[in-house]
Amino acid sequence: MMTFKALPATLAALSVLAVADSGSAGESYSAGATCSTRTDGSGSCSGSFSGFLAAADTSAYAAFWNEGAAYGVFVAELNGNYYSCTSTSPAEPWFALSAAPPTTSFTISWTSAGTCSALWMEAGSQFK
Amino acid sequence: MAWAGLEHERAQRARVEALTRNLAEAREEIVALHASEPSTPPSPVVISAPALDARIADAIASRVLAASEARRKGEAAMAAQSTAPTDGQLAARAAADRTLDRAIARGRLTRDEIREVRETLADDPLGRAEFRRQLAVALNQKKLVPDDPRLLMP
Repeated sequence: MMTFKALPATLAALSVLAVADSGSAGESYSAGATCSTRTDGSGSCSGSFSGFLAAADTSAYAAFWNEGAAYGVFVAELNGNYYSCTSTSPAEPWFALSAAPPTTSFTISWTSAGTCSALWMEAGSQFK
Repeated sequence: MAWAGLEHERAQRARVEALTRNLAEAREEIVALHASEPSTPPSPVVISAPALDARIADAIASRVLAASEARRKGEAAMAAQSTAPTDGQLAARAAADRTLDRAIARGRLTRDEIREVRETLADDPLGRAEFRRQLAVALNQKKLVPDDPRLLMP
């Protein structure tokens, strides 16, 4: 039970907490690095550049290459496996990723024919 | 009887409204198609929605489909014409294909092979694009790994 005597001290503590709360960091997490393929070779990779960099596999990487606006190649290595797809019409996020923070989350998928089929990206304060 | 008549009238009205929506969409598509064909001036499409019936809707839909198909064929023909490879490019692509076949047979792609293909297809962007796609398929199917992860694409 709170007494009137204790109230000022409690309020003071709450005000300190409120000040501390307004300056504390928000939620943050790494988009990580994951890749998978089906038996026919189609598959996807998700994560962020920083996620691949921080992967347990020290040689892991993910890269979006392009030759102008008409052609692009995605390549990734993770846990000793290689993943890749090509696109003759790279989507807008392809180029946006080059300028985005390395923490930006992305997911790219491809068909069994090695053609990139979709690319999503998400930039946000929550990614580290 | 009167109830059945009302129901019939309501159904008819709903059908006309649905047709009106479909035709408005078809009209927009036709206008967009004309707009994308600079050599063909856009022709006016006059639609009087309440007077339209399913036959007109079908006719417009057919027209839209025909226009789309014609444009697709035209683009395909143009692409085929502009991508017709020279004899030298065909020979270079065949050589690159053999290199990839050898690499797949060994399960490894060497730095020298990548450099070789890079030189072979230096003047053939489409050949490089196709080679990279085939290489991507081989990688995704785990048929080979590169000797140097940093030098993977020609």
